[in-house]
Amino acid sequence: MKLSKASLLSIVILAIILTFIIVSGHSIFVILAYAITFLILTSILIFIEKKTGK
Amino acid sequence: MKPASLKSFFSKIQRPALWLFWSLSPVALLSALYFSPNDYLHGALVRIMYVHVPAAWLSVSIYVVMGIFSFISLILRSSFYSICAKSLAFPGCALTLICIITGSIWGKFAWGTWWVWDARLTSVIVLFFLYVGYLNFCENGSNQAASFLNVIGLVNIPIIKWSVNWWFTLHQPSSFSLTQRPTIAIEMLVPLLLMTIVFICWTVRVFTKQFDQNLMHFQRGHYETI
Repeated sequence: MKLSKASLLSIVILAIILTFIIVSGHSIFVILAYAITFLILTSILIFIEKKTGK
Repeated sequence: MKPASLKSFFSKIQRPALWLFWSLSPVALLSALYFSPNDYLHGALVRIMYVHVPAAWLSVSIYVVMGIFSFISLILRSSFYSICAKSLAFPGCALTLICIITGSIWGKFAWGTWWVWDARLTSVIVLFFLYVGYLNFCENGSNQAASFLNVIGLVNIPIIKWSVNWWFTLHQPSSFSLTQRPTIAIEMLVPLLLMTIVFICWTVRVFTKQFDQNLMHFQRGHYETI
């Protein structure tokens, strides 16, 4: 599976964002809500970039 | 606005939307997770609001915009507006799902349960199924049926908006109104607005990408003409 530059950048930024959310030290409910939200948003971005091939 | 100028506008905003999404996300997250105050009742759990409320606002707004595009496409028999509506359905469906999931997590803490068949929650799940139905019709090439479903489904929008006033619900009433000042503190309003801009940028990026692809399919003839 070959990922585009934009998709790779998305994955790197998502990893930073997830680390950011986890180290915030909030309750598991808050971490879960934010992690799920940004996982869905980023996965769709990567999926769209891959589908359009740019 | 003419279809050609709309098309050119969509391609112009595609790239800035992505960069704004990635650059604003850390700022919005910092603001929501670190700088915003705790609520007197919900404590730190109130931070779920900063992802739940923008997703809810956008899922409803996107459906209304789709409805307008579908209505125009049915009246003018124009495939262009049908493509616009179709391209918005996927981000709208995803945001409704985010709204339901984050609301459910918040509900587990606030109400002690993941789900209740409350008027607001039920009307939002109906919205989700409307999106799924619309996407399913589009997938099967029935664009006219999809447009009809979209327009008829607009009936659900005032129900979502006023369900908290019309029925006794567990869900709290709205803190925002177009005619009154928001009842929310400014320290909470800033992260909420920042996160809303992040979600809008994401929607614009996904919409414009989907639009390009759907238009390409249409030009290749893989699209039913309304």
